[in-house]
Amino acid sequence: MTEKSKIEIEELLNALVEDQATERQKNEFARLIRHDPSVADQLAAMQRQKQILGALPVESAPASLANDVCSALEHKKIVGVSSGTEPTVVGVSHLFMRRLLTTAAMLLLPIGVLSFVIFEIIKPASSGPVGYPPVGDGFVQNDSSDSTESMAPIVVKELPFDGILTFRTDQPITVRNYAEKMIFDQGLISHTVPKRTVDIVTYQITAPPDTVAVLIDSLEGVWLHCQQVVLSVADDTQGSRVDIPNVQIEQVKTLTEEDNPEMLNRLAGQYALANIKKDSMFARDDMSMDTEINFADFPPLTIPILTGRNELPLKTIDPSQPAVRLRIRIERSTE
Amino acid sequence: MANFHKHKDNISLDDMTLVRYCQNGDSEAMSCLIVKYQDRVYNTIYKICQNRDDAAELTQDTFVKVLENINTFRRESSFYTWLFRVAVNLTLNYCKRRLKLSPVSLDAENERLENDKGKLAAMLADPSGQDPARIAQQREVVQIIVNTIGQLARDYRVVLVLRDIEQMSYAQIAEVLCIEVGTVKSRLSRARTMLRELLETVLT
Repeated sequence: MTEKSKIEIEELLNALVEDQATERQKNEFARLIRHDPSVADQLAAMQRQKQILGALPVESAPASLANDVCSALEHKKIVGVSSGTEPTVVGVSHLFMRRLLTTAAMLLLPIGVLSFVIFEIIKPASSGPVGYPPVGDGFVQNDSSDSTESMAPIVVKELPFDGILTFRTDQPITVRNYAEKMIFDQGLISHTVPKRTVDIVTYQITAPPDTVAVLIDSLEGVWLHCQQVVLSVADDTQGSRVDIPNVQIEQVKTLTEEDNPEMLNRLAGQYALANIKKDSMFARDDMSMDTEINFADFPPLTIPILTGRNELPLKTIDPSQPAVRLRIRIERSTE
Repeated sequence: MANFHKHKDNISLDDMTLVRYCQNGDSEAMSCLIVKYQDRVYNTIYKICQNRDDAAELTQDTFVKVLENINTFRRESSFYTWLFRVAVNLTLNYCKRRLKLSPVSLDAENERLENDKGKLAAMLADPSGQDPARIAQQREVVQIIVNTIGQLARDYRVVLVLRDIEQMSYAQIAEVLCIEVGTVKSRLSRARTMLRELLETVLT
């Protein structure tokens, strides 16, 4: 007997037990018992089984069931327990959202911290205090191959003075260290943006004129150790510049403190002319071109010792004061 | 709506009327529904789960759940099938959990079944006890048959209990179990055959 025919016989017997057999099924059963009389025994056993199951006594529920149910309902009502402990769709979605947000937060927090650290590492160097133009050579590129000739101060209109003071020396490291110390001592460290290359160091200082004048005074010793000192002043009115060769300390101070742009340009022009002709009352007269300069005669630059001395208190600079911009450029002399 | 307390024979009220009272918060109507169905629910659960204490607890859980959610009952089906659907679902869930917690030793169960079959055969051999109705009233026979029903797979056991013990119609079983009537028939047919094979020596 195949599995299929066995199932068919089961269903046939079941229909007969249920007294729901059709005429065709009854005929089929009659045909079956002719071939296999044991099928009749199977039917009898199933009917007997159904009768026994149907006659099984009904088990009585505990007598206290109704009271227990009512007590449980009252307890839930008093305690305020929501119906059922099975998770609801709303509850499940709420829980899912909470888990999602927690996971997102756990992922985003370290990513954020990591991003901040990476940004701190790779961000461009600060270009100085707010409002300061970026440090550069401060020169407008032109066709000249001479770097000195190509220098052109960036004109900043709101500043009355904008210049580049170039020291050409055969002792650039000494001069640079000295200049840095002076800048520090004058409390200009936070107003100075340095830029260093192999041969040239530039300090861009943006500060009130009197502070810059004091700094220039403090750099007096540098003049003696330089083969050439040139001041380039921006000519705001013509968008050009004036180069003053062999510029003197007093000339620089005067120009930085000049608050009239026209007067500034006029003075710069006069100084340049006078220094070139060497017959001006402002021109330096102690160094004839014919005289051989013996730098050994000059006193050495005293490099301040940073430790073991009383540091000068940092000077506070009023940010509301009008400021000038001076770039001190120190480069190795090629002479 | 008429006052529930005016009805002297509350138990004779139809289910839908009792449900309406329950939905209005009438605790006496709730008690009536519990009393009306508690034995049948308990009996069905016991035959499926095979444990009286668990059956009592599951019956209580069934009524608590049903009465808690009585306001969600939309009267699209009968209260009777709705009640039994809750009961059967709770019981089947319980059976799944129990199966995970305490796996049954097949050898021990087979040995117990052989012993039960021997006892049942001896009882049925008594000519005075050949009437199925009288056989079914004997405590030991009941226990043996219940144990044998417990040997069936859950899906077959539930259908057999609902049909042959609870006497539900095919349509009601299909509604309770959320399956097709044809599936009910085939499962019932298979369940009866399996049970007959288990009790073959005593029933043929």
